[in-house]
Amino acid sequence: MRRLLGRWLVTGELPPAPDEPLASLLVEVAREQGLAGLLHEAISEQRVRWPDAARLALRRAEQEDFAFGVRQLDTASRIQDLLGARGVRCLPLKGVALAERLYDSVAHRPMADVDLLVLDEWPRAVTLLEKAGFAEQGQADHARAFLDPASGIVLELHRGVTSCARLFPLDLDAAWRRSRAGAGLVKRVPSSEDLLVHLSLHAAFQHGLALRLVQYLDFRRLLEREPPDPALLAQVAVGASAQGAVALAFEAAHAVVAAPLSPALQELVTAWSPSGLRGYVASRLRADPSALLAPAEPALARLRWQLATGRRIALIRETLSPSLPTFARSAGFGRLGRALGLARRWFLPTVRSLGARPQK
Amino acid sequence: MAAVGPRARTSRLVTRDLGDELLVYDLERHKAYCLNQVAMQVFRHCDGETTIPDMALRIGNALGMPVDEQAVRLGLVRLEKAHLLDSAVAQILYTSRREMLRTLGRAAVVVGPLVTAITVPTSAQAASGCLPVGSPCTGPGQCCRPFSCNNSIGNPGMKTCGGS
Repeated sequence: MRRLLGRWLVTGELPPAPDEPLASLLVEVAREQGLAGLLHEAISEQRVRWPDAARLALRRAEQEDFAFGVRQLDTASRIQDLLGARGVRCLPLKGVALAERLYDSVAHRPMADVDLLVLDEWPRAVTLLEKAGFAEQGQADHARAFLDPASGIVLELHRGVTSCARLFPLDLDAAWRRSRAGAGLVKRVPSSEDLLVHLSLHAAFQHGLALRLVQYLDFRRLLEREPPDPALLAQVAVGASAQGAVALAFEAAHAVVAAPLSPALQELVTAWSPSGLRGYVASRLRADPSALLAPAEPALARLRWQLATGRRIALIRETLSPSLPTFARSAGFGRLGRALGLARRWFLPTVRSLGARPQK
Repeated sequence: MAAVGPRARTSRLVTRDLGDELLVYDLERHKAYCLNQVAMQVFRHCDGETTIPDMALRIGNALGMPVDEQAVRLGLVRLEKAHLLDSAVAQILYTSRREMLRTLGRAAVVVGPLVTAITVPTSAQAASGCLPVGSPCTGPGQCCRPFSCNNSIGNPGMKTCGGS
């Protein structure tokens, strides 16, 4: 099903007149992959005959994604105002930065939560949110999740784009200078070059390339509609030590949804592709790009290890004991427990990936 | 000069045209609505200038079917109830409402301008992608626990999330 939806994104051809079981499965997978609204629009525009139950389910999904998405963007806007009024700058990440920019409707770019990157005093931003009534839901080394009791929206307040954020140092002042006014509810959005680097780090390092289809579509639309300046993209990526992540994410987006790579970008991808992953990624992309899609289990440890070439001691240190003050320093059994948890989550899929052959 | 016709709210609303219906999100009240074709046309023609008889004529032309004034009034009442009209039209509606109440049943049968509230899922539901109770569904595993996808009572061929 994921492959069918991926093919539709590339060719524009919907599966013709599916029977009810197939349509039902497609709807389910379209929701999982964040494509229900886009699929509903395509079916309506192309006047394809689909079973009524499936059409209705897609219509309902689009309505809910619209209402939920507007509420999320409004929450992002209010927080930008709240923090901005007290001199704390923040920029949206991922879906919040893209929904109004690349999609006709917020319903076409559903997101689980609102991601905002704080550029200034992090502790102050956290205090301001808590004073405004936001309740903490959880934390990682690079972000804290809050629930807005008024809207029921979950906000992730980031101080880094990924875990182990110190491996990928971002020039936040430069990112702010390059940012621009948003087109709708969101007040300010990052430049195309910054966004591509953020998305690539998130895709490759955070999720081991296991993204939803709509997240791969983000790459394609950004590259199509706001082609980056290759020199500036290179400057931002090199500054953040994110060349490997950019190369992997661009290569995967090209294979999964035909994201366009200009000769200049192709040159960067070739130069930056991590040598230790070339064979692994190429064989998987050749065999079946849709096998990368979430909820696939990525070989996260392997990808992180290769993406941190030259900084592996820092990777181990930051993984076992994050240095950012959002995470309480763990010691003794706490550190051991964290190490065992990470091993179960990352290393087992990696070990499996070493033994498994890509599907033909 | 005072407006002669009803005027739609324009501020703090986000809209999305789906062709045969209009989705509206009210940023003041954090409510979302789905307007069917007739309600959408009524909403679109609320420019403060167009009178109710003119509106009925224009909407009828746009939809290619007769739409009477009572249907327009019914639509206005429903839009007003959803706070999608400027308060300045309250008087226009008030005088019309008494008449509308007399003919409500007849108008509703002829053409139904519907303004339906959209259930906004919670973050947890959105994150899990599961469908809340009452939602149309097509197969197992789509509904939020503990509900399951069952045949809808009174709607043969239709399935909704409900008690297992």
